[in-house]
Amino acid sequence: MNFLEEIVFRSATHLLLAIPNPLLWNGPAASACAKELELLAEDLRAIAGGLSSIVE
Amino acid sequence: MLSNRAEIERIRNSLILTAELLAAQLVLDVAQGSPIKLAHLAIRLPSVISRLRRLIVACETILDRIATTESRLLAGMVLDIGITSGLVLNPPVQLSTAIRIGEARAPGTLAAISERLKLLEGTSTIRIERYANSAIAYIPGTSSASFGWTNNPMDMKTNLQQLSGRRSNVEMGLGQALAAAGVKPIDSVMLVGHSQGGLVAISAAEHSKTGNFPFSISKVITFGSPVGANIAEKLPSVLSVENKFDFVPKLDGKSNPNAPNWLTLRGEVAKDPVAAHEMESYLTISGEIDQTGEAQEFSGFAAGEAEVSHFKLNQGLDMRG
Repeated sequence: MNFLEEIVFRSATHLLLAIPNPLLWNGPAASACAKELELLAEDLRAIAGGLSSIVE
Repeated sequence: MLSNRAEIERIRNSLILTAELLAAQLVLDVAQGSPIKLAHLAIRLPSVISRLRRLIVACETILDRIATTESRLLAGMVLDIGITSGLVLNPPVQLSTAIRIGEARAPGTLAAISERLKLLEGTSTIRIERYANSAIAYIPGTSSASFGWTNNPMDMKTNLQQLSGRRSNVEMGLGQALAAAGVKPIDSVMLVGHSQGGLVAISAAEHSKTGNFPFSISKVITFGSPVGANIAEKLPSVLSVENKFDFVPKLDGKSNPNAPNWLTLRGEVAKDPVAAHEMESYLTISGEIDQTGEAQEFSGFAAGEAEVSHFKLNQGLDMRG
């Protein structure tokens, strides 16, 4: 993994770490936020995977 | 359901950092690297960043609501503690003195409006100017540090009541003064308030829209009032004048809403915190605003001659009386 993929991959990890702690924030808004963060992290990992597969 | 402000702030900050990392640093690095990888990112990254930004805005909106609720709850809690401990009492309000001053021409400028409000500073007197089909009411700021022990209702109790979204004796006194001056419910009324007077004016305007204040408030001018926690849609046209060196407008922890019906104009009169809040400073700022013509809608509210009356507000004996 080169520097570029690493940044994208690390961003995905940051998003997963940002998922709300249910003991501090819960309810419909918190659940929607958590779901969107998971989806965004998944998309970023897919982008990082796509970058790795590019052969120059 | 639980909404912890610090947790939402943490999430918002993480999202901002991630969005910045992706949008700025990454593009910079890619620009110096592979064009194929740049194309891959150019296709896929923008939608991720825009979804991140939407989440950031959603967090900001939730934090905004929490700030409004917190400031109201805090003032309400202080008030409730005062009531249960017997420190804050709410005796009935009355107009103790009504003085008919005579006639005066419409102010015409914001400086003239400030000048008239400045005359009331330090008193518990409301000035009413009754024109043909309209009226202007001037409400001064806090003039007593009491929480309910004196006969002056322009006290700290009123500040707490107004900040917590409750109706104060000054607001009730304002209604009595308008009625006593002969203002009709269909007359268009502009309220002008300094500090606490601005809080009262905003509250009365909000109640007017819901039919809980028996006069038609069509405009409000506040000078140095902490009114940012109010919702613009519930109010008529508002002009808030603030001195950057006055900390009182910031007491509710919120900036004034950026809305089409709410104009906030700021000036700079560098004085100590007390003097920066006084009407003298706002008189200087009003003169500067007049030069720009930005407050024309408010300064030109009334025309012709008005009958002027002053009403001193009083509170009845409190329950310990």
